[in-house]
Amino acid sequence: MASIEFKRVEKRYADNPPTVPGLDLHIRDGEFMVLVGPSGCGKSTTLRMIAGLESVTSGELWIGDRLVNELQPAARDVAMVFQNYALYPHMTVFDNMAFGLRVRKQPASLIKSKVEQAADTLGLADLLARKPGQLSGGQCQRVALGRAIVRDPQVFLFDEPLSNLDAELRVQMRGNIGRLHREFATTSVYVTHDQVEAMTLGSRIAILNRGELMQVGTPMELYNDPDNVFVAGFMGSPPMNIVPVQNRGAGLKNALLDLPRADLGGLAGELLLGIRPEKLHPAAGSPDHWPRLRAKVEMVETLGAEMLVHLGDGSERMIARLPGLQLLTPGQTLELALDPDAIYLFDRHSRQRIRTVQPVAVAEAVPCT
Amino acid sequence: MHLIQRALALWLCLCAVQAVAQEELLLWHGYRGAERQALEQLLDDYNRSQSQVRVRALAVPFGSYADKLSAALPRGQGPDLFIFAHDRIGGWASAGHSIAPIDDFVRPQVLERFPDNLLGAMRYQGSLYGLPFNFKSTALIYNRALIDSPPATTAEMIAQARAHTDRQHGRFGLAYSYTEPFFHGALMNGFGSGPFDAQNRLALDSDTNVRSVQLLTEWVRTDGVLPEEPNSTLVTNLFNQGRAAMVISGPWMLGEIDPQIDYAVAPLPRLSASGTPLAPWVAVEGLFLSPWSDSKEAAYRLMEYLTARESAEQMAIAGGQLPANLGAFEHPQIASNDVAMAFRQQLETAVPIPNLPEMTLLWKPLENVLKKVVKGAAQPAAAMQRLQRDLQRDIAALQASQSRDAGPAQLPAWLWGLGLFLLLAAVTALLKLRRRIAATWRHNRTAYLYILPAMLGMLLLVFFPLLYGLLLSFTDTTLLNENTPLASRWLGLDNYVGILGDWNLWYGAGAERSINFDNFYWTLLVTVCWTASNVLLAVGLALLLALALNKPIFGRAWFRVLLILPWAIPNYITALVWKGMFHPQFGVINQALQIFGIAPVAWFDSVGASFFTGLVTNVWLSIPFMMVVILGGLQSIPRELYEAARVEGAGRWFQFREITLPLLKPVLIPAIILSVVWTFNMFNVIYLVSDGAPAGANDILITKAFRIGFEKYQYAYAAAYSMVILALLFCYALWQTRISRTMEAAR
Repeated sequence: MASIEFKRVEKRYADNPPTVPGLDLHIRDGEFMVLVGPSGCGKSTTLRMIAGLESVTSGELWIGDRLVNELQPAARDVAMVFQNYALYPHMTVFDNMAFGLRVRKQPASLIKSKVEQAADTLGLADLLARKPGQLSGGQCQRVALGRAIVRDPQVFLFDEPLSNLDAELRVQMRGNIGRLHREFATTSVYVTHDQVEAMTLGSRIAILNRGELMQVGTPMELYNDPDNVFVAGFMGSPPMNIVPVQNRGAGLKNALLDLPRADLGGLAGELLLGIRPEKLHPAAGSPDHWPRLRAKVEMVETLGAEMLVHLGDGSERMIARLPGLQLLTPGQTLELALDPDAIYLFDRHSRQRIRTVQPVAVAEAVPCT
Repeated sequence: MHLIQRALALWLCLCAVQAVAQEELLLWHGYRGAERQALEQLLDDYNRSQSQVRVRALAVPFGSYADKLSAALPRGQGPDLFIFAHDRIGGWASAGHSIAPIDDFVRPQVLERFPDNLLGAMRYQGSLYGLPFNFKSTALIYNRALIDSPPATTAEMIAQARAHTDRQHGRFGLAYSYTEPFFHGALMNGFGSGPFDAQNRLALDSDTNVRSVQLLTEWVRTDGVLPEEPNSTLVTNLFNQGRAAMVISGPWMLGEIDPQIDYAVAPLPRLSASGTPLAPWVAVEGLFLSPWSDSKEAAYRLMEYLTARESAEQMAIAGGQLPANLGAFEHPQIASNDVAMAFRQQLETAVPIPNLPEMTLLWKPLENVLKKVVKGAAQPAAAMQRLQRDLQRDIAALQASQSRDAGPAQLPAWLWGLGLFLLLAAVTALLKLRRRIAATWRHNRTAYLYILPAMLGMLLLVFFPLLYGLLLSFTDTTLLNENTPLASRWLGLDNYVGILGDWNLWYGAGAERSINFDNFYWTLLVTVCWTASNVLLAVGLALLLALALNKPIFGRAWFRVLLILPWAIPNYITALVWKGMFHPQFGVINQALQIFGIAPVAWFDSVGASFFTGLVTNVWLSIPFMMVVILGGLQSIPRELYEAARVEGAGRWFQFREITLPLLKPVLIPAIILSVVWTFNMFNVIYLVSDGAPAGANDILITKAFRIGFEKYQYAYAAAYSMVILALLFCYALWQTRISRTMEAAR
């Protein structure tokens, strides 16, 4: 087991702008780090640099106490699970799992016991004689996991391992991977573009955008305390409502909202306000001092226990996650209350969080209507 | 109505009158260019000069002319008369129904137009088969800048030649295709009677013939005035570059001589020892009559017209021919042409190529012997004696096949039985399955219609020839009896017994023991070695190249194009290029070897070296296809597999062995199967590069079958040979299918 440290690591292909421009990231020993971000954000490249499949253009990459920039993949003692499983189609499940051990010329008896043990853990014991072509997607993925764990490496690397599976299997495999990590407690780096996977699996999550690290933290830190609009918008489904507002000195205002005075000091007039859909509550039953908004219902997505209400008025749109009890029809006007503790302000230009001020003067809040 | 009937009747009458009044004659020839124009002009004049006969000429492409005649004539489908070289007369006359004697038509005064030797060429077994039209013989062509006056004797010729020979700089006093029997004929005829004695019996081992070979060997090996491995292109090139002072060649070379070269033609010199002149063989083109012609009289009159002096003059002046009617040489325009007159003079001593059917068997084996002897690989006397024995055997085989049809013969009863049984089986099957056949036909009528053309094509082009070949293999069909009824040719399994039961693996005994290269098992061994080594090398090298080109190396796209390029060149051209490069004296390979101080290799002299030339050529030809196939296979292997293996710690060799090779199998195995079949039957490379040298040692089964069929004219034996090849490949295919099936199952 080992920690992983990126020190100003840059990856650049030819003369193009860098894919990863100077990454600083510390992955702790035994941690399950999820790299998440939209496609093209450099997360896979970052993972492949750890594996040694991509070279590091500049900076330092450490695994444990070794600088691995120039080290061959074989020497890094990492195991990787690929998106397409990368199973050898001409070998049986057993041979696939034994591959790494055979490369290392382990004695046959040891290989056998290790592979069988891993197969037991993953429920593959009956499939050892089959070839990948005869397996389902989930089974293939388990073989790929098995191939990684028999080697007992310092680091596990996962490159979107679940993206080829259907939704149900994905949930199941997510459980498996989580269980394995708890069992082996091996340092793991997991790449995904799916924030649900990130939230459920990660000890910590690193969110990347265009090669830049946006924020690192535990899932709840990122969810509750986003550093910027990108993180706020990336985590959660549906994402946080982000709407532009005017700072009128005496309050924040836009087409939907009219929040009472807040001490906004010298902040620019144009700001972004964020609030998660679940922090919009039906006005009835909410504390009186919570600010209100009235908006037209544009569309309702009923999910059973809850519903997503799309509110819109011309240019501004918001989504509210409400209990699925009431009957709403498009066109109807709805009054909602905003949880004042869950309102975030962002700079409109830097798109960074403004932490210096409390957006709503709660004590003095006055209902809009 | 009445009127129309009358008009019709009148028109029909007119047509009939016209048909009676005008006979049509069809004349086939193989001329092109000026010769063709001159001939057609003559025929136009003839058509205009009279109204009874209308002559139509058909120019048959020269390459297929002989085959077309042989196919059409016996079946009565050919022309009324045709122009062809005289050496086939014997074969045609023996085969029958191909050519008609003209003794009944010929007028004695017409025969006075021609010299005796040319007329003799037209005679076979006492009958005159045609009128000579023109002649071609070799003579001495010399470079006047180097040779002041042509030599009168062979000793003089060699002395002059030696003065102009500088082997270091590729200069030779004398050059000609001396290993070709047509050219060597001049020596054989000069010494004695040529390959046949006065009674037309084969006499290759006669004292005079052996001496002719000894003299040639002396010129090549002792005097060293002749280039190695000559052929007509080489001779022409040497002469045009001024690097050959004298060449022996015929009128066909004149058009290819560089205008810068000031040359002259002279008759060949006399033999110094006996004082007799060297007597080159002359090929006489004659006008021949088809036995099927309805207008033989008219055809003969056309022959007279075409060989008349005026016609001969026109063919000489406009067509550039050397006319057989020697009166034409008195025409001032021809008499003043030194070159034409030199060939005219050479004709005095020239001897027509024997027109015996046996002659066709002699060309290739005699050439092989000459090649061997001039390289010192065999002694003239012994080699000629062995050739005499072998040829006598082949001739006996031909004659036996011809004489057998004299006796009554019947197809064996079992053949009829088998035919009847098959017919009955087919009918029973049809009756039994008629419901199903009708039902499938109704259901899939469109589908059957779609495959009908392909089925017909297969039937006509594959199954019929196959069956015909099979039937042929049970007969003793040869050039001489192919038109006789099948029953008289029936032989049974003798051909197969002859091929498979021939255990004469050696020639001679003791120290003189040598491998019998004509033996089937030797040829089979060579074929197997040939196939295995080719496939192994081609696949191995193609794999290496494909692996290299699969990496993102610099200029990859260009390398790919360059490596695929040999594929775009027709393989016989590539083969000829390689043959040229392997030429022992002028080939680039030996010259390169010499630059590095390595002794030049006589590529076609030893079994191993000669095998190597074919191997290199064929591997060169095979690599592009193999490489493309393998490259495609490599690119279909997902990159992640290699990445996974790298992460797992596998090195390159391990990756290649454990991933690349197993995953290439699905492409490699079909490619190897194809390659095996192609190589096994690779006719072009063997035939064109090494030509089986030395002495047929490097022939593979398919070239051997060709030689038996088209150099020895034992068609049935060749058919049986082909059937054996087919059976071998069939076994291979069965085995291969089983392998592939187990592979499929394992996947």
